[in-house]
Amino acid sequence: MPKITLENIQKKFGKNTVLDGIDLELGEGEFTVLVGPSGCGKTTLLRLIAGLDQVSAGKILIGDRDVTRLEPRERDIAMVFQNYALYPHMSVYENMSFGLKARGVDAGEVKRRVIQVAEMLGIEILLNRKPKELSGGQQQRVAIGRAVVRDPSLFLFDEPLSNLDAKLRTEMRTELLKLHRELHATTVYVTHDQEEAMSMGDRIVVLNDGVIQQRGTPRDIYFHPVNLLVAGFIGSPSMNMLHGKISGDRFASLDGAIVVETKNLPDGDVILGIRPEDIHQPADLTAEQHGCVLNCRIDVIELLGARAIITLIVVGVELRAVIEERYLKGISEGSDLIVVFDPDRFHFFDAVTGRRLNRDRFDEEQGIDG
Amino acid sequence: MERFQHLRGRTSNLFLESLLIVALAVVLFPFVWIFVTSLKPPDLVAVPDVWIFEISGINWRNVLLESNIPQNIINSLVVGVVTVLIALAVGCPAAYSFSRFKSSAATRFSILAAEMMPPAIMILPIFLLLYQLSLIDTLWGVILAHLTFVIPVVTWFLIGFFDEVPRELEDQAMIDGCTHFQAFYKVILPVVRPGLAAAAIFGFVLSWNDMFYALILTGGESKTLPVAIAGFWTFRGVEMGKMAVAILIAIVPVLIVSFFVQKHLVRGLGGGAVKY
Amino acid sequence: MQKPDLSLQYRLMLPLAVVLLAVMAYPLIFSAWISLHDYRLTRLTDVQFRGWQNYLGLIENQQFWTAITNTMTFVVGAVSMEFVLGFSLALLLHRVRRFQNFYRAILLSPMFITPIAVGLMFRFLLNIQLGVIPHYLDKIGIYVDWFGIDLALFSLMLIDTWQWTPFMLLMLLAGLESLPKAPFEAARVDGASPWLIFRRITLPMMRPVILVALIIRGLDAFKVFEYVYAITRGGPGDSTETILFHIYKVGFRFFRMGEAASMAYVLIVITLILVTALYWSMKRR
Repeated sequence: MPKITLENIQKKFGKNTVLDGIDLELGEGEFTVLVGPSGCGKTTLLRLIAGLDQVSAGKILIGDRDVTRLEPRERDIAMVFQNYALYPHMSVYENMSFGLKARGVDAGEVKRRVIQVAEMLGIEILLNRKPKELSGGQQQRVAIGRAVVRDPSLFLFDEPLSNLDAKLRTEMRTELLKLHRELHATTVYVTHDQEEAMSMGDRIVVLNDGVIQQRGTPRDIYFHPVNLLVAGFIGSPSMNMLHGKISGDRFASLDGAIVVETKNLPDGDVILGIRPEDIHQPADLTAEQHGCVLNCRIDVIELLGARAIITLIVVGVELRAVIEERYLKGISEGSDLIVVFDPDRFHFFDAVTGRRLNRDRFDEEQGIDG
Repeated sequence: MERFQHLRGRTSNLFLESLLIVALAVVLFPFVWIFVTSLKPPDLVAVPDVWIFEISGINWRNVLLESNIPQNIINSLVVGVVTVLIALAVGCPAAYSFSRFKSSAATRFSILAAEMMPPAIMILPIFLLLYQLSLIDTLWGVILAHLTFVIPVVTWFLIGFFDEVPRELEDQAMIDGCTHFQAFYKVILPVVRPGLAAAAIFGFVLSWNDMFYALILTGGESKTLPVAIAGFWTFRGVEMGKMAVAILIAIVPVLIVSFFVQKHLVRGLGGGAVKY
Repeated sequence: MQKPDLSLQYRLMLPLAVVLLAVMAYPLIFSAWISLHDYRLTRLTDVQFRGWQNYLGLIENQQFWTAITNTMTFVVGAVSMEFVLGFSLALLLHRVRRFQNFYRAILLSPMFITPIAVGLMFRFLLNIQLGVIPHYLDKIGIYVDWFGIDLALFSLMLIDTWQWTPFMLLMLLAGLESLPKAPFEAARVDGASPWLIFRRITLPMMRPVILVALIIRGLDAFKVFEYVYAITRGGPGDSTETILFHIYKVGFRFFRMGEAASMAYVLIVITLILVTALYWSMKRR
């Protein structure tokens, strides 16, 4: 399984620049997720890798092979589309064998491979059916099977799970991951769903407005978002953002509700990001972790099951927090609640540029620019 | 009152259905009349008020065995089939091209404009051209003339069908190892087969039904069926009986095949304006 | 999204372009040329250039204007009757669920058959001496000469209505069925009366379909020929002489091709105006 190299990819539709200077290396056998809000250019990037659209500038390499100007059929890739794109007039077997036959693989070999893959995916009893006789989940499997059977050097997935219902989606997610562990195929997977991205990717690439915002492992992206955009996009419910000022190693929010000590941070207007998961009950943290204690009023409680999202109000500012269900005893909407923060989990961003300001050991190692 | 609510709904529906049945009668009456007429003995054909009589096959025998009508039918069939085949051959790739590659609305529309051209403007030069080529009174002339409206109709019709095939299908085919052209004929064409059939049938019906061009461009042996029917102009009983038979032959097959394309028609006629 | 594969795009269009150019562009240009000449089939060796004379002659040509007036009357009359009837039937069919496909199949059937057959059928059905319809009308004391000078054009409109109301029905029913349900449900919840719903919701939402149906049908009605040829041949007098029939007469009965071509070009201008209107009404969707 080769690695994929994208060098300075540009894509314009007319005067519209959709992708601008994408440099990316996808390692051998890695599962890379391209994630971003709709319209960020992630599907376009996938189509460029597939050869369905032509780059306006830049180079695409699969292994050492320059495929920039090659037709899709010459690139040795397989792709699974959002709507599955099964050939409606062909049976499942014909769908799966079409690509092999088009490549001149001999009939016996075609049959052996189709049956082997069908068994692997548990669709061998569907082989004689037409796509319209299949459920959404079955169609999905056939589409994946059609890609796997080709044994390509690269798998591309374009939001393959978004047409499934929530339950099936989680199941297929696990199944795709198992499949990946088995095949170790280099894979590029596009989704707009940050949860899907976090749970599936070996590596995540966050795109917005045609520019790569951040690349890294799910942990990097979640714990060390490089800017406001990534911070706001990854994580659900999304990060709380508080406007404030740093002067003399002290951060104070605009309303004065939150005041914390800072280290090695320049003075100026900043935004403090706190993940809802990082707002705690006093009992959860040791005393030295209590960087900041806040007395809030509870506005809304949304029970999710084991956990609840609570909306807190402090001096007119709203904060969303995720707490465990057991803490709900004795509190109700309208009552007061004391919460504490661990200052090590604070994210500071420049209010003007949106860039992350606090650099920790991790940031130094990764060489991420502040 | 509550209890009778559903009854009121039912009676009003009955009323509506009775209106529909009146409409049905108005539509069906001429068909019934022409069918009855075709079975009347010649001396009764011109008498309006006779509904009970001894059924006679003489009109059918006259037409099928002793007239030129069978030849006219063959002419119409040949013209229709050849016209449609040519129209599909040139219209199909073009319709695909219109549908898949961003063509301006105006280019698309020129196809419809071609369909709408009044036949008067085409007939004079076509007639003169054929006259000079000595193709008057041959089927080639009619085929040429019919192409002027069948091609635009078929093309316009097919654009709608291609528009409905998701693009991912040929993307997939191209990834699977096809060139774009192979993706078109190996994957997309089979997928739109119902559309091709509907367009072919509709184009055929248009050609089969035309009288204007055929009237001017054919004569004698080469007359098409509508032109032959137009020849039954007198009120003589013998002729009227034969006319009834000829009309039935001209309309029954068309009614049968059109039944199958009805649901595709809106797309074909209204273009993208009306979705069914 | 596809990057235009120009060569394929044009290769696929080429056959159509070549054939259409041959069967349409050439005749169009040739007719334009003919329309500027005194081109008579009886005197092909002596074709005189006349410039705009043929067109200017039309202004004075009483028969031409009669034909235009007749055609306009025919189009407006027939298309309005078809619209009203077609819309009513579409609303009816939309309401009645039982046997809907059966009703629709029968009601649509007239539009598929050759107009010459329709013309001839009605020529005999309505004939004053041996037609079935006048015969029974006579019995209940109504005496009408359907093809007399007063009624002939109207009778042709009725025949057109019989054959082409189905087209309106087809388009409008499809339009009705494609309307979203939600606005109607919302209006009913709000307590709007059926008439109000029809006027304020159905009609405005159907506007584009109605426009397209009216224009397509209008364009088609302009070409009326077969009924005239089958029944009245323009008479009595010139009361049913329509434009296409007139062009046919001048061109192929009197062989004055130049004059006929100039009339055809006037017809093209009218057609193009209507087609442009159609274009705009479709584009607005």
